[in-house]
Amino acid sequence: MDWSGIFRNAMTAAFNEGAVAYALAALGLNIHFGFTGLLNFGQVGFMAVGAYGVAISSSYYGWHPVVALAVGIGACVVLALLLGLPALRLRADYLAISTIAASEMIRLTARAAALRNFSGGSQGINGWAGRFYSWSPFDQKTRYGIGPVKYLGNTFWVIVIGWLVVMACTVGIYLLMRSPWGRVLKSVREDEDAARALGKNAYWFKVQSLVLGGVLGGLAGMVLAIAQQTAQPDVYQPQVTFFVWTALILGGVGRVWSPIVGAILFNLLFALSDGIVRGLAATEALPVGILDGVKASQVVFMLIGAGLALLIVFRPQGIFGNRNEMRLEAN
Amino acid sequence: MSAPNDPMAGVEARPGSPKPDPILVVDGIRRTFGGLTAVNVEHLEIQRGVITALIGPNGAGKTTFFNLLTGFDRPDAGTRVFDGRRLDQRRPLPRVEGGAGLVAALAGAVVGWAIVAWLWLRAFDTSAFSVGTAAVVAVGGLVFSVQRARRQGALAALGGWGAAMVGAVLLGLLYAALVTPTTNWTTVLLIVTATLATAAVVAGWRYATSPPAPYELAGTGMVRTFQLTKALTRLSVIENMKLGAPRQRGERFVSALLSGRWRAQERDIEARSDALLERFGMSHMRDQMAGTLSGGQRKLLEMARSLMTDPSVVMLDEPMAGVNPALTQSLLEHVKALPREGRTVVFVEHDMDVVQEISDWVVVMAEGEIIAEGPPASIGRNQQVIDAYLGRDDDLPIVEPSS
Repeated sequence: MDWSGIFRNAMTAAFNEGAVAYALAALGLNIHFGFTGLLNFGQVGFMAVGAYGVAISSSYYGWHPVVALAVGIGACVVLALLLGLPALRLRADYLAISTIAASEMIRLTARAAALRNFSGGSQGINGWAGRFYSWSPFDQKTRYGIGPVKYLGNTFWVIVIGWLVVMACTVGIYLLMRSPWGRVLKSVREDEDAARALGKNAYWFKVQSLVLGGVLGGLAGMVLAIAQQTAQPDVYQPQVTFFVWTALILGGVGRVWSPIVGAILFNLLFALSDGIVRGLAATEALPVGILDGVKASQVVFMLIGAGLALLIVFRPQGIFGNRNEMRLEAN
Repeated sequence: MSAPNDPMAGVEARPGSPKPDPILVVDGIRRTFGGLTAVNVEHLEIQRGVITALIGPNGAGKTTFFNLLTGFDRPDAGTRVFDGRRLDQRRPLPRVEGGAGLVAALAGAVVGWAIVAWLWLRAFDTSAFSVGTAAVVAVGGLVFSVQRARRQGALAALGGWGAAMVGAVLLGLLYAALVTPTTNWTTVLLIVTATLATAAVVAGWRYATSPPAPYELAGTGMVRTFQLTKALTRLSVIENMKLGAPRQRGERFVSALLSGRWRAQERDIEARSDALLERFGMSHMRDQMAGTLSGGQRKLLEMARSLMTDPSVVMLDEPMAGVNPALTQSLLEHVKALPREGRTVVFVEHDMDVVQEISDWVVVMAEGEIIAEGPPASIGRNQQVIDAYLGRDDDLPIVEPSS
């Protein structure tokens, strides 16, 4: 097997636009779940709305990239309000149900044949992001990077901007969470009624949290869509939400920096196991039929699932979490 | 407890007796759960600046009544006045309820729907489809209004009418855009404006005449604790305390990012928190997670935290439940100290020794009603209280009469 190739691919995947997107989406999910205790099982819906917001503004309406980005963010705010204003008045599980349902509704609407001219149907909207690269200082024909990890100029441009956005968002979250605003958010996570008895409008803080985390999810979708110059409905399948959850849990829930590490590590492990399984399939070391190229991709998902199960059994607090603190939850 | 300046000295010991300076007055409060009337209190006044105990056997409705007093539950009927402010609605606007209000609301709905239907026909064409849709919208909206009026009262009918009108207009816009070739857009604009204006007025009226949410009461000076202690377990003790401070500038999203806007206030809050922790003897636990405290320490923390709101009334739901005897005394001393700072205390309690020791006045509930009031020394001798706690001997003999 080509071990150096597998490692090089894995390292490339660990920092590519997918990793940026997972980091942003996991940061958003951490605001929802880690700091406010909201169960959002439809983060991919926000990603899709962000991606399609940018793509439709750029292709169908032909608006300026800055306007397109603003539309993507605005659409995520609207989605968060539509979901949150009714569901956040109810118990936590209702938000979980409505977010997962909404994310599928968004995907199925985007791929509807009736809206082909508008959202591209099942083909998606392709090749609309050229204007986003007009400020790129990088040459598309050159490969940039550190050591063996290299990206083409355009991709590198999005990745650099993407990681800068991740850093800016993380610093913002850090500042928010050590402010009185973050304190109210955490008190809502611990006990809404106690927060209410002390005069805090728990409902309004939950709405703010849902909007903020949803916008981060939208940014994730935008990075993905711009880097790949396409908005494809089937990229935004429900399992993406759970990959983001895995990245969040891997890093450690409720820590400011951990979702980034979780996202990088998740992408690294995913690409690594993918490379190894495919390598095994190619060597034909195993009897024919057990592991061919098609089955290999399925096996990777099985490994990821098993990995998540093991993670939750042996290290539920993730890499940076504090297990003692986690135990206090039960009280 | 009978000091010479005891405000309770001249107060009659009977249910609903008037007090010299009441801070909390309730009238005709009723709360039912299905067929069960959990609370039915005709009149009760709570004296300012003293400790009032609310006692009664299990299932007497104490906690339900307590939730009604603190705004965590809404009564089916009745008024609550706290320090001159009505707790039943935010603004002193007339409420649309009762027979006349119902008639007015329904008349308004009929006229409103007639106007919508007429405008609809003006805005769109007069095809059978359009007329049919207008009729369905008008009749459907009216039926919806009447339904809401019957179930939830006149104001809900008006609210429902507003909501249904918004829906009807959205439907109309869709229809105008997709189906009707000759749309009078000026009239459509008129409908939209009128609908939004009506909906805004109705929503505003509903907001103003509905009871304030629980969190709004803390701002008016009423704070409560819970029977099952609500320590915020994964926040440190000091963070728990700081949360209680009202009107924090850093709780607004934009200000939160600019620490210069709230840093000075935060320092004051921290100083106040530390002073209170010192007074409650909890300074050494300052940076511990609240989840590591014992049950009694959590009760102390919850009480200290509630004082951060600088309340005029402290409502304690079973403050001694699950507290070990060593801490009970300390907790009692802290409760007794509150009236000396001008705070009023109302607490629910089972333990009669506690009630005897710290309360200035006792209110006894049984089967949802207040059956007795009086000073703690004599309340135990009240025949009705004995009957409520032990059962009446004429229907349920506790001890077989010895012959």
